Amino acid sequence: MKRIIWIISFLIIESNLSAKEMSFSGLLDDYAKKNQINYSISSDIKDFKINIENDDNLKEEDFFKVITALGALNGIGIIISNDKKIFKVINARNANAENLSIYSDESLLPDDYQFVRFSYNAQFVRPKDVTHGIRPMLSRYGRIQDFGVGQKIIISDYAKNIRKLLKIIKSVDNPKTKQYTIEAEKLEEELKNLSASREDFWDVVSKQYGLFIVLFSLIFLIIGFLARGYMIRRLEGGL
Amino acid sequence: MKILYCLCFLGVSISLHAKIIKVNNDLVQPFVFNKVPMAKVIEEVAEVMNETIVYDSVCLKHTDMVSLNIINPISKSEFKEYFVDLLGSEGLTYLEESFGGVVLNQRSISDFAVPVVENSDIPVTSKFVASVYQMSGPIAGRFSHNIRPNMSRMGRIINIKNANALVVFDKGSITKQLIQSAQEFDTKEIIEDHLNKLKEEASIESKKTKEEKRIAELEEKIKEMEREQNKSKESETTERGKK
Repeated sequence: MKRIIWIISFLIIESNLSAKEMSFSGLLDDYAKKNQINYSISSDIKDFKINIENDDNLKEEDFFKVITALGALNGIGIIISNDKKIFKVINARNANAENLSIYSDESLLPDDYQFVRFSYNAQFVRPKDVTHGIRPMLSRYGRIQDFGVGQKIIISDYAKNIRKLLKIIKSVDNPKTKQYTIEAEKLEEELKNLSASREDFWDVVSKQYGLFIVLFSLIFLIIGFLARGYMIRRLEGGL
Repeated sequence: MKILYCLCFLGVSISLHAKIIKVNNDLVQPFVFNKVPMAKVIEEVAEVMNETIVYDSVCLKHTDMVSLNIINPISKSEFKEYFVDLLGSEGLTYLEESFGGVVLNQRSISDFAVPVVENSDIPVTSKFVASVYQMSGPIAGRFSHNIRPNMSRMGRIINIKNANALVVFDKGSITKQLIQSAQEFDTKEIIEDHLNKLKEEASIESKKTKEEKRIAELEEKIKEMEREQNKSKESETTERGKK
């Protein structure tokens, strides 16, 4: 009996040693304690199991990247305070309502999946064209907006996703695009003029009916006099 | 008896930690994955590539056992491609990060930062990439509308209006083909044809009565509303699927 218990307990220990599964909240806790950072977790966040294979290669600075990437996989937004003393773990759906860090310099954007906001000044491309066109490239919880006037574009999303979007926006924000926009406006104007309805004969008649009444009255008057002249001549035997 | 038990324990330990894949002279030696669970495949790949691979346990819940038979020694990069293909067959994909990589559901890939590459540098791979191509005339919309059936389920093609720009997001091999097709499509003759067709349509439009125009406008609005309804239904089902 003792031996059987011994075998079973050894098997359990072995299987636990070989498993690399851990909980997300456990990983957060480990990270916070190691780096002496405070954190809060929103009540609607459910814990989940994660796996890290070959974690011996993981550097200290990459731990936060792993945490934010796993959070993004599960619809979690991680927001760091401006003083970097606390980070919040919330539902990414609510991230836009939070006090996000705002960046305008791409080089300062974090290289991880924390939720941030970026302000971009377009030079050549129309902000409206970018905001309408690029929406499918945002994450589910990302937002992009322009103001209708001016050249500013505001993007709220995971930081790494914003880097991806900026690369796309910058590749179309060039002098060629401005030329294309002017040509497109001219073409639109030309097509608008071409497709404008031309008035047909009855449209003209219905607008100018007074004129047509007078004109046709004159015509019939002349025809009437000519017919009268012809009839008189006939009756007098001249024709 | 005690020696027998110790030998049994040793046997169990060895079987738990046994590696299927061996590397010699930087080449992955022939091996067989015969109905192996995906978690084991990921473990082997992480070991061979010397990378950290991270994944959420839920994404492997619905995966089947996989099989792969490598007969000749292959390079590590080729091995990685086979790994990404194996993931693809189970609806998963691999996203490279600075710390290694993340295994995730293909449905979630658009939420993540895939590499944005130049048209000339698109890799032929099963990993997702994005690329931007700016056409020389206003034909991007026509091209993007017609090429959609050639994309994978998770692929996207976007037309940035007035910039004549196409943003293609799909697996590397598909993205490369689409960008090549866009480059072949982008010719003066096609642009002229397109402009002539637009002017023809505008002239036909001018001959319609006001009532006919109004009916056409209303029909267009109804189609747009149906499209939006379908889109919201699709996104609801993907949200439910992700949950």
